[in-house]
Order: sequence, then structure tokens, then C-alpha cells
Amino acid sequence: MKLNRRDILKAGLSGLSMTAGTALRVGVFGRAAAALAAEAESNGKILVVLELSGGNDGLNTLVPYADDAYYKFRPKIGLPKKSLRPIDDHFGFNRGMVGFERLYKEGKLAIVHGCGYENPSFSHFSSMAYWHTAAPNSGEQYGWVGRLADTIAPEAPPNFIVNIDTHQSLAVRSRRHVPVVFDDPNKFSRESFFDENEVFKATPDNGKVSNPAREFLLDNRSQR
Amino acid sequence: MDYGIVGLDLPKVAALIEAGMPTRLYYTAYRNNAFDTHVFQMTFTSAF
Repeated sequence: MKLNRRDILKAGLSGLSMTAGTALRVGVFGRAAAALAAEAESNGKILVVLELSGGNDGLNTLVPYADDAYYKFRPKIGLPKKSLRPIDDHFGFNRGMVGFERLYKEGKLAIVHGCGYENPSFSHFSSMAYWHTAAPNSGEQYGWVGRLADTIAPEAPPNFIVNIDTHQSLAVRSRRHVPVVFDDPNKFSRESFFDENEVFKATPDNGKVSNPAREFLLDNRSQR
Repeated sequence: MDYGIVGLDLPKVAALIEAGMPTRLYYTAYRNNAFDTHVFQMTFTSAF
């Protein structure tokens, strides 16, 4: 069974039973997930997700310049066609998006219009939770990336998910996996409970400690 | 003006891949919610 990027993303939805009263076809996803696990094991592909997080104005990012309603309802902040980077006879990128335009014209960028769901929440917090779980109004506690990992690697090998940020995203929260979350590798330090100290003391250092914070901790440990 | 934009973390992802980490799923985001078009909205529009 040949699987493509669409199948991979669908697997991130597996595990859901109901959302907004609509039953997802778990059986279909389940069969895809089983095949996906074998495929993912053999193809060695890596998925990198960059979340463009911010108060972004979607209609002024990819402007529907051929739609009269856009200018009717945006008499002051509507962007004129001449200021855009048209990609077809209806839409144009914001002038600042030269990199996106290049990727699109090279066939490396896809656009999904009008993402949303019925009766949207006006809470930013709820909305971001829905974004990260891909499961509006469901109470889903695991993120879509976390569920994807559960599907393609249920044995949960270590270091399967890495989340680089100041805090863990709900998107990577997984039933089986423990994501590695870090901001700055220089801030890594060894932590232990009291009962574990003797064991860690027995572990030889690699002699390459260059992190001032960790050196401080190690110095304190040796003085106890 | 400081828009709170700091460097993306993609170079760290690239470094980990290059180092042979067994990681298959990487997740990172714009820091400080900095992917934001509103900051230019009025000045940019008024220029046309």
C-alpha cells in the first residue's frame, strides 16, 4: 500500500471517535494506520512542522483580489491588486511573501483555503487547543502530532518527537511518547531525585561540559 | 521597533537531523506569536 503525505496527516486524526456530532471513519484510518506503520518504518522520512504562530490576517496574507466582497468589507485595509504577488486570476500573496511565492511556483507549497469548523469558539485559548488537537469541541487531550506518533510508532522508541520551543505544545502531547522539549541546548542540565544521586555520580562525565549553568550545578554537587 | 521576532529554530532541527537523531517528528513554531501581518497593515495599505 503506497502512502503519501495525505495519508500521514490523516493518521494524525486517527483515534478520534466523534467530533461535532460527525463520526470519523476510524476503520478506514485504522487500516491506513496499520499500513502506515510499516511504511514509516521503512521509508525513513522525517516530518518537520513549523507553526506560523501569531495574529495573522489570513485574508491579507493570501488576498482574494478578484472577489468584490473583499474590497466591499475592507474599504480601508483591503490590499489593491497592484500591490500583490498574483498566483492565479483570483488570489495574490501579500507583497512581503516573496519566499512563499517562490515555493508555491516551484510546486513546494500547498494552500488550504477557509480552514475552520461550525460555530467557532471566540476564545483564543480554545481555538489554539482545537488547532493543536485538530479536534474541535471533542475534549481530545492529545495533540495531532502526538497521535500521529502513537499510530506510526506505538512501541514509543525514545526521542521520536522533538519540540523546540520554550514550552511543550499541546500538538505533540502523546499517549505513549514523551516528547523531547527544549529551547536552548546550552540550558540542558542533569536533574535527579535524592535517591538517584548516587547513580548519577557514578556516571562518568564526558569532559565536554561547556554549559555554565551545568558547571555550577556540578560544582555544587561536588562540594556537598 | 521591536516586534518580538527572534530567529527560527529550524537550524536546530537541521543540526539534529544531521547528527543522526532517531527523531521522526519535529515541531517548532514562531516565537512570541510573531507571525503577524497586522503590524504593517495601516502603513502598508496607505502607501498605495
